Amino acid sequence: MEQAAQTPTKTKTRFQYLTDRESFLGSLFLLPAVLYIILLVGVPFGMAIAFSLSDVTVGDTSLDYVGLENFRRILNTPQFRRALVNSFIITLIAQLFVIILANILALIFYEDFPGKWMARMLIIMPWATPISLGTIGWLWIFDSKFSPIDWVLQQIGLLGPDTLLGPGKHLNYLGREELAMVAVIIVHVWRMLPLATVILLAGLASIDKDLIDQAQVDGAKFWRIHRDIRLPLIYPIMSIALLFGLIFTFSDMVVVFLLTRGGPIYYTQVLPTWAWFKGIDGGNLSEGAAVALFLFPLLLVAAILILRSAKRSEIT
Amino acid sequence: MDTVETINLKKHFAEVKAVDGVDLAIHEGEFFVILGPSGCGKTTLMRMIAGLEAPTEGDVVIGGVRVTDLPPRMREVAMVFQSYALYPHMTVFDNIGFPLKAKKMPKAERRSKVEAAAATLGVEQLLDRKPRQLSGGERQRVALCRAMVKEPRVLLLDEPLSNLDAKLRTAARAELEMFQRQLGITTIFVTHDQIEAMAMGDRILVMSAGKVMQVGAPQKIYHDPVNLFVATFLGSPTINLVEKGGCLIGFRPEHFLPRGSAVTDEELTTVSLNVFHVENLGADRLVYGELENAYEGKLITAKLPSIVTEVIEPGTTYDFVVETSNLKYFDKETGQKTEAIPL
Amino acid sequence: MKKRSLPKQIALLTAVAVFSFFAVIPFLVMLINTFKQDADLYRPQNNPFWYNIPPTLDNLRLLFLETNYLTFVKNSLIVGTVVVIITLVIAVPAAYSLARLAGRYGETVGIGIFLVYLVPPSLLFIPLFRVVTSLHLNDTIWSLILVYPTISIPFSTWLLMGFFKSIPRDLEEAAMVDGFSRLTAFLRVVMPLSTSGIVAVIVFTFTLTLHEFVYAVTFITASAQRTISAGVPIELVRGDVFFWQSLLAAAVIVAIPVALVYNFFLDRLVSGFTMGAVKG
Repeated sequence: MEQAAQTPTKTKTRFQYLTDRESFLGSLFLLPAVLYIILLVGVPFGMAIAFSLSDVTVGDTSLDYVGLENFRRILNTPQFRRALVNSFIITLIAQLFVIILANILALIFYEDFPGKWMARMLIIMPWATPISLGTIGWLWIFDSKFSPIDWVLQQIGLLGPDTLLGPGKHLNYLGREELAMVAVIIVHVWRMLPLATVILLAGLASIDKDLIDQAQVDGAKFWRIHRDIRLPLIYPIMSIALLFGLIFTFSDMVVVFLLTRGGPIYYTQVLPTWAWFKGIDGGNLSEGAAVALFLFPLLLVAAILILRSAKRSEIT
Repeated sequence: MDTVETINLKKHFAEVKAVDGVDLAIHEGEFFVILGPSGCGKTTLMRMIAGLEAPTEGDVVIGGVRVTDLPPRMREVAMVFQSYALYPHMTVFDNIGFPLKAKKMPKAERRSKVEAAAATLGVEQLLDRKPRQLSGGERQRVALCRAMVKEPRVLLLDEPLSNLDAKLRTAARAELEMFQRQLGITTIFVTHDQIEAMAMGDRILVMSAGKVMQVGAPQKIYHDPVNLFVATFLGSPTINLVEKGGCLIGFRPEHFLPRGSAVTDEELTTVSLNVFHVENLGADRLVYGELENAYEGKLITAKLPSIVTEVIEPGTTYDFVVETSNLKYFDKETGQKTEAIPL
Repeated sequence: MKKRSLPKQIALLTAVAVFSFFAVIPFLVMLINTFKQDADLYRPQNNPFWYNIPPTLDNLRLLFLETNYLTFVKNSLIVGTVVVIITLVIAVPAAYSLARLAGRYGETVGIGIFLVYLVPPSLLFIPLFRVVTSLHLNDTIWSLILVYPTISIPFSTWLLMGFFKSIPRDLEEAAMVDGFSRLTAFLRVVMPLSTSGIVAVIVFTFTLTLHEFVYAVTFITASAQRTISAGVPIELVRGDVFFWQSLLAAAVIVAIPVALVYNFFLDRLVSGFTMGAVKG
């Protein structure tokens, strides 16, 4: 018996041929993506931190270290404090509504009914449309002089002289502090509802039909089935939908920017818009960066929670 | 020269030693079966021969050439996967012709080869169909076609019959055997089914936990197992085991007959069997009973051919005999074959 | 399947109607106003939901001929197309690498890449503004072409990763035994089977470039360089005067087709969000 090799060899590199070398191909394929992310996300992130600790402005390109001065200053500004609070209030209230409504809507779409495909298309539209364009529509709806809502309220006698919501003929949604906040929340709910609904729907659809049949044989009625079987099973996916909603709403700049510009005065500012007004509009890059960085802790927490939830429920 | 050799082949995944030092030499034209339970490493072994896994240590030699560092496409092997792995987006014709495309064969030549291969396996009618339109048996034949069309040196089959229903399996088994004999191609066949292995193999390699247990012709390893694992893995019903003096003595159910029916001049060993249960299967009868010193207190089985007509009743004790030369002795500690001792 | 009782059916359909109405009301308003004459629109006592004076195409004429709207559309299309190409070129190999070639740490790196998607523009826009300015790309669409892939690549990689994983390994291995290198096996076997994943990535990336606002409004101030997302709200307002009908028309012309296309690919995109927590 011939032996082509005298002693067994420890194989380190597998193939001489480049297109077969798995580790080489693997790294090569991954490299551009990783590079892109490092250069245009990682580095800017580091820069954001550097900016917040310096005195850089649009005019002055030198980066002089000022320590926590920026943070101290913005924490003393009423606009910033208001923006911080608003970010949380708007996000949490909007998401609360979204989750409740999405549950209802997902249950509805779980059923079959005539015109379902059409309804689904309509329901998706707020999410599918560019945010800025959808917000423009709401801008008109909330207009101080020409709001269609005002017109309807007038027609049914709730607005105008001697009425419940009167005596003015218009409610000036975007000019009044509380109403402006409500308007912003409404637009956020409007936009995020489709995504949450579709995610929840996917969750509902993935529940093993046998379980529902079994429950029905066991004698449970609709609400019991929903509460004791469906809800616990879609809990992981609902938390994912919730976390995404929190992240997207918290970090959104568009709605406030276009609807109220942070007004009236500064009462509807949120962190992203305030960062923009300070940093880009006002030219104070370092303060703007400091404001924007306040977004990070919440996003980090949300991201970790999503990670954990995904790992736990992973079936892949 | 042996067509396929492995030299001290090892594959370790972290702490798991999937293949732990396998030496093989497969002769040209041989139908070589690698047999073992799930997880014993047989598929990993074959994948290393194919080039789909890199060995942690050791070498693979095909046709006298050390191929350990070569990718699959340079090894002149063909493989049929357990799932058949037919490309769903291509027609049967394109599936079969795919290896020839890799060789950059001109279209006309490709066509004639594909049609010839298809004719050999009786799938010419299916050339325009897509895999999803084929039955299990048809898919298996198309996969074989694809493997053979490039005239490989070695054919690797990874449990190709296990996805077929039981009825089809026996027919497909015979077809496969005849096919291989006709072509004379060196074939490596991986399976966990000992009946398939015994029926088809020229030689069988029995594997367990990454190591070679025994290699040999089917009859040899059946009648002369080198250790307890091989003795218990082969044979249905399982070999009977009796404990005596640090030794395990085994005898196969078909060698175990009631005294009255044993017609032979050979030396016999007699035992007292307390019968519990009898199953009449038509061609055979299975008798289950209790024996003193039975290993782990398990029931002893006897397989009586239908020509043995002696009446066996449950609840009665009979004298059963086995030819002493058919007794196999194993060391209780190591499981290895050992010297005979009186029963 | 039990037949639903009548009151239940009515309740269900009513709920559907209510939710649909809520979703669609801004678009309805935009659509109607597109054709409204000034005299009709700017009278608060007129019915906003219908035409009290006959509708007109004037607003559209104004939009297309007297504003930069078509330029915005052109810019958006260019940015969208180039970003899609960049994304595919980078994300497809990355996804394959993570799905097949990266072994055990592939999954973790994949999730890590996905998490990058959650770092919002509103956090990075200030330093990126500096980067873009120093590269002299500000006020050009190239600033967007450069930066948008940071958003599309992570999500697309994740999406495609899941997709590639669902293709049986057997097929690539069979191709390798049949005589192809890993690279060729990928191109000839895996790619043809991945068309729906690729299409989803194209749709997602393209709509992303249409949606994005923060970078668009930060990097570009010159009107003729703007894209739709930032251009429409900002440029179609002259001084303090909102040319409402044109503005709303501009919005709805883009909004509806995008929504329609998105609708078709929803399931695939949602599977990316649910990250395998749900069998999609």
